[in-house]
Amino acid sequence: MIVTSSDVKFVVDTDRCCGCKVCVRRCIEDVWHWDPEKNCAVPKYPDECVLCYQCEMDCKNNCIEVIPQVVIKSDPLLNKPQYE
Amino acid sequence: MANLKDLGKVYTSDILIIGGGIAGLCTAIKAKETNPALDVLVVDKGSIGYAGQSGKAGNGITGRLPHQNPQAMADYLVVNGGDYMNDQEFLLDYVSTNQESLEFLDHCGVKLSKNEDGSIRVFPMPNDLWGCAGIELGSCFSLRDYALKVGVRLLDRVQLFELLTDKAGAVIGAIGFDCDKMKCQIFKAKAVAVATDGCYFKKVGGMFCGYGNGIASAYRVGALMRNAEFSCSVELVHKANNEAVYGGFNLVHNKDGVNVSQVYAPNAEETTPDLHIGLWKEVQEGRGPLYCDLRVLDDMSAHIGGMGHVNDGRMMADKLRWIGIEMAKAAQTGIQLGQTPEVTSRMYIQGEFLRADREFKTNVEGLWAPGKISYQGSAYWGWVRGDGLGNGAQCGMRAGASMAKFATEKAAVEPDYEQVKALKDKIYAPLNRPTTRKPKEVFDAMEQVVFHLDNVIVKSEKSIQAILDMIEELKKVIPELTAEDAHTLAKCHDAADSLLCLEIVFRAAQMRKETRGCVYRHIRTDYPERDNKNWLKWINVKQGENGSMELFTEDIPMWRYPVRPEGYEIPEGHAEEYYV
Repeated sequence: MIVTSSDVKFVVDTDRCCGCKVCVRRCIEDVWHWDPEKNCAVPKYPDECVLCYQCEMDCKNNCIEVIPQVVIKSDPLLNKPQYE
Repeated sequence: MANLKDLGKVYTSDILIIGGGIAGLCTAIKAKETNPALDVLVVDKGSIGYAGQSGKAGNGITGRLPHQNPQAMADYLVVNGGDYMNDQEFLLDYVSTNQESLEFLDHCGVKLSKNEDGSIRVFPMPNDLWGCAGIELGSCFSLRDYALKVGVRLLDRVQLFELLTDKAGAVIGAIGFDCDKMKCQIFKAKAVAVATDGCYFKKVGGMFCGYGNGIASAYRVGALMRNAEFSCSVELVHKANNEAVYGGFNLVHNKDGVNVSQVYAPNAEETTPDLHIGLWKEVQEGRGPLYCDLRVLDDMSAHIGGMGHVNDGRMMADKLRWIGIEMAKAAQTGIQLGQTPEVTSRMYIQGEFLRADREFKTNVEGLWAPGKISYQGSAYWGWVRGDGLGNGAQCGMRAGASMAKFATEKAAVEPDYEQVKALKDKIYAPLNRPTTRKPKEVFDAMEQVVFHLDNVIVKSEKSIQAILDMIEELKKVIPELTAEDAHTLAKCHDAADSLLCLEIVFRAAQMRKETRGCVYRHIRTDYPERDNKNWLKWINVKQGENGSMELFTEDIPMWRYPVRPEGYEIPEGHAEEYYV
């Protein structure tokens, strides 16, 4: 399963998900939810991801790959002054 | 007769702690150990153990070595941390118990750096005024297990948005919903703590998960905010992953190989806005990209980064594993890493201004504020590396003991049905609106604020007013936000509460007409000097009688404090009290 948002791409090997739900508990931004129909964890709210990679770090079966798409949306040092 | 149970599931405890991070768990454990007969309940929107900031920290925790003097540390922090905005009596009291908080964590089973004899190993910081011990990334797993062992009750995946009050205005509970089935959850308690983290305005590049729910709910029941104008700062980060280059602030070079750290903020002991204003100038004038030369570590990068202590127990295995994954991901971006990584500035606003006293009690009866939520508001405040985690333990020890005493002596009060019903209707309102606006609209607009140095770091009446105007426009969006499930319903309230916190920050910044501060520096281009004559004052913010925001100043009682700015004169009506 591949789930993408503007900032991040999740690649989830659903066949290997053991159902431990550690990713659901680990994510403090509520990205991961258990999908009873697919019988695996899914990144239901990918927009909320803050790129901590701890879901991938804790996944017992290495099912999760989090691929950053945009790390810095706008570099403050490159932005011009707004108020002259 | 109407019954609360008709509105939702009702929980009763002596003490309710909202937020199960390090501060909430330490508060709960201390309260339970102070009086084991008390029923102590901790509620978190996530999963306790994983929840809170501590799982994203772990570079160290403040401590004290036997030869280090708390008064010397406090005196240093007044000048170099708070720039005289501290409550100096609280500060001295606080730093005097640094080591006790480490011992408390050790007692609770948290893994800390140890000497061969089993005592906690504390490493001196470069200025040798305080120390730093190693701590596991998973400190909250250990605290969770210990909390259960001593009989604390834990409840996961419930988010609370409003506090319940009695007729006199004392806090007697809270209300929200469970994060999966969206069922209303009502909590009754004699004493309540909001240990919910501060407000981090989502998507600003940080990993902390507070959206200001605790601050906003406390504000709505009359709690005071303090030092909100000192909420903005900046971090040196890897351009490849937006993560901090801990301690690298003396080693930034421009494309010509010039060490620009030494140009703008030589031999600094902390990263400061002044350095980043200089970095901005370098890039704007065409001397970027910038890189951090880590081939030879200086004292600050060795200590603060922790990499000078990898082999002697300060940096724990779980933290190093996480750093390894983060850096592997950063390498995928193709942006230079290695020992000379490309760097930039990450500006941030962190709302941690709920006012609390030495026991981390707010001005509202029955309400405590342990943890980062009151980091600035408590005004012992400043900035000390490692004090994020240290603060969690310190607050817990103080708030837990105070709450236990209060709850032991107080009789329970039944919440008013009509108040609970009105709050429930307010919380669920976004489900029933004929509109289609989403909270992302509000978050995206707020996010734009932090991408500009002249919004966050260098302020003027013009820039502040522009942001306040934007906030006024966004406030019109809040009543039109809609939700379709528990997650999006929570986000509607997160957006509203974050916006309130942003307004508090910029209203206070507008009021303070001077430049002051260190790491959390308040810089006004239209008032570029520190003004000790008129601004040795705290700005307090509260909700007024008619619901509008009220700001008022309060003289800092410098006449009682040992560290005073040069030329300070005791105002009429006061005598020098400190040395009496």
